[in-house]
Amino acid sequence: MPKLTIWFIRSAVACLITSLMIGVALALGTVFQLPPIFSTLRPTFFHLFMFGWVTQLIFGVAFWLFPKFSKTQPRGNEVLWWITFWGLNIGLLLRVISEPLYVLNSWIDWGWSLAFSAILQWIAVICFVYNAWQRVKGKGH
Amino acid sequence: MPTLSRRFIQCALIHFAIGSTLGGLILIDKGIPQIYPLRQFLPAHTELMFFGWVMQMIFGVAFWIFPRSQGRRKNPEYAWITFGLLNVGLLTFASGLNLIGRILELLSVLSFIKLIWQRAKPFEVAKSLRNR
Repeated sequence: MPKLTIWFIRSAVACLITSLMIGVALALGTVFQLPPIFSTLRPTFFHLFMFGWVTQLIFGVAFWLFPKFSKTQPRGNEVLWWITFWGLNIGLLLRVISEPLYVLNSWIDWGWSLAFSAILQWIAVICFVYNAWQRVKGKGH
Repeated sequence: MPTLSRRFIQCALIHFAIGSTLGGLILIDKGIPQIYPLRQFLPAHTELMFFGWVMQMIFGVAFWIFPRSQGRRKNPEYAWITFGLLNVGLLTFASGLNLIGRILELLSVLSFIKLIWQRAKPFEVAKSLRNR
């Protein structure tokens, strides 16, 4: 298993554990009276699960198992793959921090941070699509 | 990788790019709300990500990787129906015709289960079928 796949999978598992911990907190909120920040965590829970866990796991496995791009660059452009990894994880982390703080209207304007996190995650996706597209091919192509 | 898997995965990548662009714009709109209200595209975003990206990617990879009977993938023509139903269904749902979209998606999932069920078996069984 290549090094980047290991990074993708470890990071995906970290996102899964974090999302499920937030999920427990959200469920506790239905039983006990919790601080208002907990009610803002639903999109965070959801995106950590679907993007941080499911999608990141697909990225890691695709990098490892998709047909080779070429003999010199078997996995495609590795720089773009690393941009995918860091863009996804930094973007998601930034979202996890800034979304609840933005909703709670704290003294810093977290809206720009939220927008920046969106751009980072979008760049990660586009780099993945570019690399993966070139490796979707049949035998002999 | 067989042609059908390639089409599944290529469509998944297209839906992923469009769905993520919508999602990114919705998040930017949440942070900087002066822009055109994009939250109305949230159902289309979730549909493209769930059915267009994740599910279609799983369908494509499963059709490619699951054990084959007698060295070949059965019913490739039938599998194209799964592909067509899924993509028409999710685009129909994303465009607002929810009921028709969901029915087409359900039919697609049922046809996929029929297609893949017989291929979900231990390696030994698949090997003995291939050598028969």
